[in-house]
Amino acid sequence: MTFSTDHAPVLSEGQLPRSAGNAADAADSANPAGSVVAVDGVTRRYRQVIALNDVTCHIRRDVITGLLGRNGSGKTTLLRIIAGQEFPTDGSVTVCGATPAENPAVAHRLAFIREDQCYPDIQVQQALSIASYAFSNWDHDFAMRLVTDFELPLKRKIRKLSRGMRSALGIVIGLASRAELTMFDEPIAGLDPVARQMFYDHLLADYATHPRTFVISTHLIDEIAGLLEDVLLMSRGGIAMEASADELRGSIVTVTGPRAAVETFAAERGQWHVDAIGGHARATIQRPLTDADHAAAKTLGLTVEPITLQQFLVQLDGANGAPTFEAEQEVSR
Amino acid sequence: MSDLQTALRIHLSINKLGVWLMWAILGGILVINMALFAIFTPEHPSSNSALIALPCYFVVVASIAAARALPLALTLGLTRVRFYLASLLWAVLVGVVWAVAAAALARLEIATDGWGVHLEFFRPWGAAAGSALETFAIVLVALLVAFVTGWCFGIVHSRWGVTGLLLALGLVLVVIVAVIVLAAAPHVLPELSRTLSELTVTGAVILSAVLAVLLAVLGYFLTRRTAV
Repeated sequence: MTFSTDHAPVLSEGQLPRSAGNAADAADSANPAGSVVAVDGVTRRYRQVIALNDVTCHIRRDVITGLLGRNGSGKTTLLRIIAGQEFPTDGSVTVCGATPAENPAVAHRLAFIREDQCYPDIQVQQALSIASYAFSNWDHDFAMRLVTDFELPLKRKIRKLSRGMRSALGIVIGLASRAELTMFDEPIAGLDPVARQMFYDHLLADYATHPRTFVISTHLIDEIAGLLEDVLLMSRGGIAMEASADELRGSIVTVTGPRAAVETFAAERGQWHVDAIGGHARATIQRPLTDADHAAAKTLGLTVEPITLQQFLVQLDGANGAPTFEAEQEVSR
Repeated sequence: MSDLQTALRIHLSINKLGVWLMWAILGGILVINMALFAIFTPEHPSSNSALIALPCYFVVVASIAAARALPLALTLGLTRVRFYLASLLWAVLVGVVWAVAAAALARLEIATDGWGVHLEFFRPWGAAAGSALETFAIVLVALLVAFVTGWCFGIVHSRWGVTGLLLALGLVLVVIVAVIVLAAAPHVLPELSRTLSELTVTGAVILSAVLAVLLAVLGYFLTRRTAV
């Protein structure tokens, strides 16, 4: 797990379960064949606004990666740069070992469905027909199955579709394309719960039979967390954390209880973030707890719970200045 | 080949109806003109420059292609430059077909004595009556200039928004006014003024073709760095 110290000021490198400099990451970076996307020091400025600030990350091949973060954290900009639709102000990006911008060899291996995907004034079936020409691995039967499941009206003009239906159309194109690298930017925006579940089911089923690289950007984290194998957490234009989802699930816990006990317990175990209200406190510990730790917590009357990715993101941004508790907040220093 | 097919498919889908609708509209205008000419019979044959509708349509089509079809093309794995070049090819193909149609209709028009009512509906401005070659060349070049102009406007809008588009339109207006002023004021730049005022149809077509090429090059450089 790589954890940016810019976004977690309380943790030193030695406290991290898997730091940026550890052996596993060193092996990853030394083995670019394992990464389908390599982002190196990418910055994107729009006049005074810095959308991306020195972003470095990798996306592993044939893995479902979640690009998570709040609105405006830079997810879409990063995806656009990876897709070659936007140009970085500084830094470099390689997709399948080559620069993506204006590179047909890369473009043919990639499908990037945006939340605000722009379509000309055409019908759904025309969009699918065009897509079938564009993608060499296009699966027509699968596309038609998805169209039926999402109840997409083939004859209707895209501009007359609801937001959810437009999202569904993007999902159909993205999944049926069978592109080597498929990137969805907020794919479930506007979809009802049934359609969202259908997307998850189809994605997993198709991924099982046709393994390929997916990058899914969303801020509806808890809902999608179960799909993800790798997680890139973005905050304020930077990568706050790069980890495998399994690693993350087990390694971050919250400890709640009497304030003094929590502070004592957390301080000894790599506390990252502490919220306190009156005599009660909640600490986030970014390290797997041992049996001895659990026993000690029980003795002190503390409750230990695993943290969800969404809770983690909330705390992450809280730690960077946005208070999670309005009454009183203490971020340990 | 796949990129070309995809790009052409996008254009055919967008303009599936428009390509024929434009000629249907022209046909409707022709019928109205024939009726008017039959009622108010003119002494001499005259042109009503109705063909100007074709390049106007091309400006709109190209702007839409640059602003709305290009993002879809990129999503579908095309590059900007490939989609642009394929779009130019589409414009040339449609332009040639339309120009041939206009030239054939211009000949037919002369053969039927202006549809029996002295109407020169398909004679573009500057062309000799019934000259298929001049009609073809003028229509084709006008369509290509219109397409690359429309594309540039679309890209400018994508890159710099409404402000950029207004500035570009203002710039084009200034250039057109400047050319008119120079042509009408021989004392400013006598050589240029004389050249412009004495321009033959062939000269105008060549000049327009050069303009189309220059605008196409401009479109290429604008498109290459467009973020969508």
